[in-house]
Amino acid sequence: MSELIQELQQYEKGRSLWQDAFRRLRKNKLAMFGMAVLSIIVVLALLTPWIAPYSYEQQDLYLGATPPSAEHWFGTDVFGRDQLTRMLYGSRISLMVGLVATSVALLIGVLWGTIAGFFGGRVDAIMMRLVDILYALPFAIFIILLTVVFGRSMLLLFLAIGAVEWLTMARIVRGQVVSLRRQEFIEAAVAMGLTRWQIMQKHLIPNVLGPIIIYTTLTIPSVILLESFLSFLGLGIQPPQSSWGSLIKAGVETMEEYPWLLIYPGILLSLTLFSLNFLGDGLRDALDPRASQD
Amino acid sequence: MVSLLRGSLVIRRFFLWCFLSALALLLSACGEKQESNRDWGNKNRVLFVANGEEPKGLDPHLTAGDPDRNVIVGLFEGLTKLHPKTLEPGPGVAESWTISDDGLTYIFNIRENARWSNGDPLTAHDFVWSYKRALTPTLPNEYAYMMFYFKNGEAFYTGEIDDFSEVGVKALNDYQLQLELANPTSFFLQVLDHHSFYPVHKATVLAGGDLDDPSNRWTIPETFVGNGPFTLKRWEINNVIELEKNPHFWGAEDVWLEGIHFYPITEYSVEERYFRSGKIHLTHTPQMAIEKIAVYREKNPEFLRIYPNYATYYYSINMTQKPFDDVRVRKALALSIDRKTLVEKVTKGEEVPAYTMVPPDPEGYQPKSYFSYDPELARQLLAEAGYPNGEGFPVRSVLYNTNENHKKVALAIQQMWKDTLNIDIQLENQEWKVYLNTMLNLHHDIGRTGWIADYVEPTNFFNVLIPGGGNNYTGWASPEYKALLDEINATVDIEKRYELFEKANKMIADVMPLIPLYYYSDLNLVHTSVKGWYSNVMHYHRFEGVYLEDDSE
Repeated sequence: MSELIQELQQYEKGRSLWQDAFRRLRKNKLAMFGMAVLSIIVVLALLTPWIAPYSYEQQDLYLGATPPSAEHWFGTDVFGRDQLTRMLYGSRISLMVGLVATSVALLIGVLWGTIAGFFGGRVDAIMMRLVDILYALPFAIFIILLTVVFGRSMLLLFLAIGAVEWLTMARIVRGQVVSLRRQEFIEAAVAMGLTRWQIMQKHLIPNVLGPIIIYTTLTIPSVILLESFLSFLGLGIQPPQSSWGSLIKAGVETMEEYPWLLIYPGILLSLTLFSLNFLGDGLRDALDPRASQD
Repeated sequence: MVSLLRGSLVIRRFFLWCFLSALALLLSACGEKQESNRDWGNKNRVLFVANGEEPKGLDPHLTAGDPDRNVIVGLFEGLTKLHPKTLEPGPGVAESWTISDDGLTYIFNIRENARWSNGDPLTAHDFVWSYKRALTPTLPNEYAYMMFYFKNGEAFYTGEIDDFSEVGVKALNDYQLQLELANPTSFFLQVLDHHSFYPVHKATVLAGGDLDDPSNRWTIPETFVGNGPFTLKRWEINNVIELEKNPHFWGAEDVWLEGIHFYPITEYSVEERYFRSGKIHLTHTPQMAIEKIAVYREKNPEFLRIYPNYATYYYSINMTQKPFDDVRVRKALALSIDRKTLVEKVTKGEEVPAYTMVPPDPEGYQPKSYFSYDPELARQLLAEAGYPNGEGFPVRSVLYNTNENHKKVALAIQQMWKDTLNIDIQLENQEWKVYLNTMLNLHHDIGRTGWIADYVEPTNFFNVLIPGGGNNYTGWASPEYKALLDEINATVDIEKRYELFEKANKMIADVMPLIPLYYYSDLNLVHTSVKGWYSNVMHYHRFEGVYLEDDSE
């Protein structure tokens, strides 16, 4: 009976740790700034179909590229399409790619790494060698193979990117888990008769959350950029749809003639990436107080 | 847990990054005095060229693309050679020739000092063997139909006869080659400078594989043997193709250049940056970065060469599938494109709107247009085909090889179709070699195509649509059209030929297997130090007459 109470109390404490973390996060100004900026961008992206001033595909060839003006706040591109509208629609795609592909990577990577690290021995060896093999596979060829077999679709793009990005995640998590496995609190958990799954879920994964979050915040931007590379190969989104990557790429081509086509999407992308980094950093500090104390 | 990152590391990293990039900028500013490719090339007689896509191959009997041809003209030489400026055929490997009175028999006298790049003598027998290879039906030569000018050439290709000695190609002795034609062909001497008529070295080809092996790798630098003014020195895929002077070339004394470097640069904006930073002497692609045209026109007109091309940019429709098997749908698509806006506002390079596959020849045949931009009629035709106001029109796509200019054209046309016909056409891009394969196997719906003349004569364009031809990406196989082409080939009288051209032109307009968009302009950036390089209507540029002279001080 007393064991049960103890366990319940422990559970209570665990919850308050999360509240602690959030309190610490709120004190971090940079992190809160990042969160605010991200929320604004996400809300704008969600509301795009209702707030976008123009259609993202309607061309006006006779208008052509014009600098920012009262009608077109961020100017127009060479087809006379409103740049602001295209950036808003682009955020939808880029954020979606960033989030979904990263989630896929997160899910596979964390599970894979935890299992490999926790079980160790032969299981570890086999699982990690598989990761090594996939690492060696050239990324572009892998993606091209996938599209040849399954055809082109947004879903496939998410899966393909996620399926590649999880490798590093798995390695990071495995490394952490291996070092944690020998620590006393895991031994205590084993002694208390918790199942392996419970140990992984309740003790290991929460403890590797710091590196996971940091790596996740680094993955999202790289995925967003990866999307534009794939679109260039003809595998990602296709025109007239826009994404941040494709807008920046188009902007680079004409940056001397029409600088606004590069500057605004560039600012938006950098702002998002910085915010993500600030937020990720803040989260890590909040979740792992020891790291911020030293 | 170990502290992986410090709280302020992101910021510190940012400052570090700023510092490093500032440093890099400083260093690059210091290094600006470093010699550019162009200056080095001017001194060492090396020409640097941007060549568009990575060539599919350098075997003259197995290529179709413009990037391939640009390199091949440096590596090989045909019996005749066109003048770089006027395109008049002159002596090449053959120093002279006689033509029989009926115009059917040509006897070429091959130079006795003609050599392969490995020093072997080049004889009439090499030509016989090469033409046999080019005509072998099992070799996937997209230009095999060029050989149909020979007597029995077509019969050999279709398998009616097996014996190549019946084809009108015969070596009279080592240095005399007799060519018999099926019909008198006034422009035959011009045709002979097409790469499908270039000779290949028998022993080298056979050492690499069978006569009809398309994956034969004899064109790698280690084994390559050609007969042109240059030979292959280095070929790094997607990086560079280096040619060096061929000392065994019969006219080697008059070749000024010691070497040519071809860079595969797919993007026109990158190509332009290469040019501006002195990495290349000239751009060898038929188009250039669109938004830069106006900039050069204003600031550096001495580098910009714009020249009308005998070439057409068009969309091939795959007629073997719904809904494009309906001529009304094809016509509706063709009629709803505003070509004037397209060339003025999208391509911007003095291109001319096209309503026919064959471009008008200022000194020859002028094709008639049988349609114009007519949105009203286009809508009506689409409605008659069963898609009133675009309703129920299936999702189809336009395929183009990855390139920003093709993408721009496709985007504009996609919108025009949407506006006029209310149909949604998707865009799809593929890498050059993949794209060629898709088109050849008719796996596309609508595909971007460009045709640049191989010789200045309308039949060169009409032949593209030859039933089953390797460059026919439409699936159109009309026996009447084939019969008409045969009739054209058999006709000598100019007036009569023009009448037949018009008949073929009308037949194409009636069936509309392809949608002509515009006649190309040749847009090149050429540095002022490059001499002896001329714009011409065929986008044909040989290198033996090119020399470099730094006059910029």
